[in-house]
Amino acid sequence: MDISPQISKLIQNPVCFLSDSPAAGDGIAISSRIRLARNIEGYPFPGNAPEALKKEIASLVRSAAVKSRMFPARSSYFIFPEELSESELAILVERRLASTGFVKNPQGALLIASRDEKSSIMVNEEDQLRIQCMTPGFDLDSLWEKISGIDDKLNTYLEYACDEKYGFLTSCPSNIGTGLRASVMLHLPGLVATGLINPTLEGINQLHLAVRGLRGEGSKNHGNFFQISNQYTLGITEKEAISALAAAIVKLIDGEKQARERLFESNRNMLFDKVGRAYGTLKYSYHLPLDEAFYALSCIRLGVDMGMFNAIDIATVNRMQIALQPGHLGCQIENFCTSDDCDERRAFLCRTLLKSGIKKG
Amino acid sequence: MLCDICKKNEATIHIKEMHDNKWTSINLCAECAKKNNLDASPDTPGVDITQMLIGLGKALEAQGKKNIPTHQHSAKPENLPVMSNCPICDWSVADINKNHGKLGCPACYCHFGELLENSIAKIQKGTSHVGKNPLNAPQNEYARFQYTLAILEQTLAKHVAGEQYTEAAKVRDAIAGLKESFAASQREKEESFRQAVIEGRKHARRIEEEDV
Repeated sequence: MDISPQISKLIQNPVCFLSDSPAAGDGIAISSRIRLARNIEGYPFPGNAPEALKKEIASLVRSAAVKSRMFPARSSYFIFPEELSESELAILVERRLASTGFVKNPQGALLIASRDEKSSIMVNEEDQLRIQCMTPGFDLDSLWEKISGIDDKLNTYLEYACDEKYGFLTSCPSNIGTGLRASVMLHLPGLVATGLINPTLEGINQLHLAVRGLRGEGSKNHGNFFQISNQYTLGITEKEAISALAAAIVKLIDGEKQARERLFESNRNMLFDKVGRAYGTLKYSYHLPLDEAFYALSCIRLGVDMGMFNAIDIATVNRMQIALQPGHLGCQIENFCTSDDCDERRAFLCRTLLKSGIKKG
Repeated sequence: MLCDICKKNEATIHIKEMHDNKWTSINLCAECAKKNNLDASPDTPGVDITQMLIGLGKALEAQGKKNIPTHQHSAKPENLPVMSNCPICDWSVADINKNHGKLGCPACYCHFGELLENSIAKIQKGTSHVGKNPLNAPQNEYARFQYTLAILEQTLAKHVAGEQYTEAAKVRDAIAGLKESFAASQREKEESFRQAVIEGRKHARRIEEEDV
């Protein structure tokens, strides 16, 4: 398969939102992300803009991104989704640089990303600009400082559509005001195993926070990953929205820790059994569907977090987490695995990675 | 006021929608609203405007429009055409429904203001922005200018067609005044925007020097 130069450069690096250091967020808060929705005054929203106008907007944003020095031309990615194949687009989604909605409408769209992938702009998604910053672990405050700085610099070159009453105007009224959506991705296998997840998530909904799957809006629960984000954008300041979310995340992390302790104390054999079977699944399977692989990997991640393995480290788990998804899977093991079947290739990859990732002793 | 559907209970939910250039209003009790998926309250998180609009459409369809009191909205100035499409981007209520509650352009917030206000209040924490403001003035000035101009031009065309030349002259003057005041405010804005750009460049130079 031919891969575009920018995509092949991307996949050589580990993703920016998974930390290989065991200390980051106790392994429960996997990553934090903030995005801002912005539009340029005098232009229709992308859903109502012809392709030519979208291209004009993309060129305006590109020029502002470069001139503001937030995304220098030589050290940033400027990717046009319409030039990419389906599996290359899948890679962007899997690396969380693009949303599924963005890659479904590639005409006139542009993705601008810093070399480390931690800051990026989707141009002509639902809004003309979706600026986002990501980091591993749980750190919303410094993310806010960073993204607000990028936003101000871009605003020096782009005049944003805004309104005295409604603040930043967005295509969907659910984003008007601050246009801010902050989210934290949590790995909650303890709460799922103890059956406490549903009441917990109901409680989260009561706090006017939204719960989504691994890939944000519209995605389902994959491998015990949950994304918690703020729902309100109008009548609330950015800092209030972020601290309300942060307070809930602290409680969820605490709840997950307690659930894990309870499992370890009262149901240790069941826990070991789950983790052991998951290890067996990944190491010895010859046909591995994505959902099954994600579930098994979640159990392994739990085992690693709880110090149950001395043979596998979190870096291997992170590597597998990304590599076994369809887009990355298609690009990485072409030379080694001849099977056309995605599930067989995934099984092959897991066997290979587990063999190479095991530490001595 | 009694519920338009059951005609028994007190109506506690009041919803308006544009149909064939006329405002249609529907007043429902909590029970009938729930039956028609229109029971969004501020305590119900994640309520989608689209769902509410679709729900409203269904409720109107089910009941037959003739049963529901319809009246021309008197709050709108007489000469302003009450139309379902945004005069700037031609987006209609049907487009909002079809596109899951999304609007066509910033001016749609002026045009569909009345329609959106209640729904926004239901899905958001407040009704006005309290967060950070952009560097440009926090007013949807350009969209408002375009919107008002489009409305005035439509009124002018109507007067000319009806040979009401005195009225037409008044509207023509209003258009000239509007353009002039917008141009003046743009000049002022451009100046402050230019200053901001200069500041930005200075900052960029500073970064460059630091890099060296």
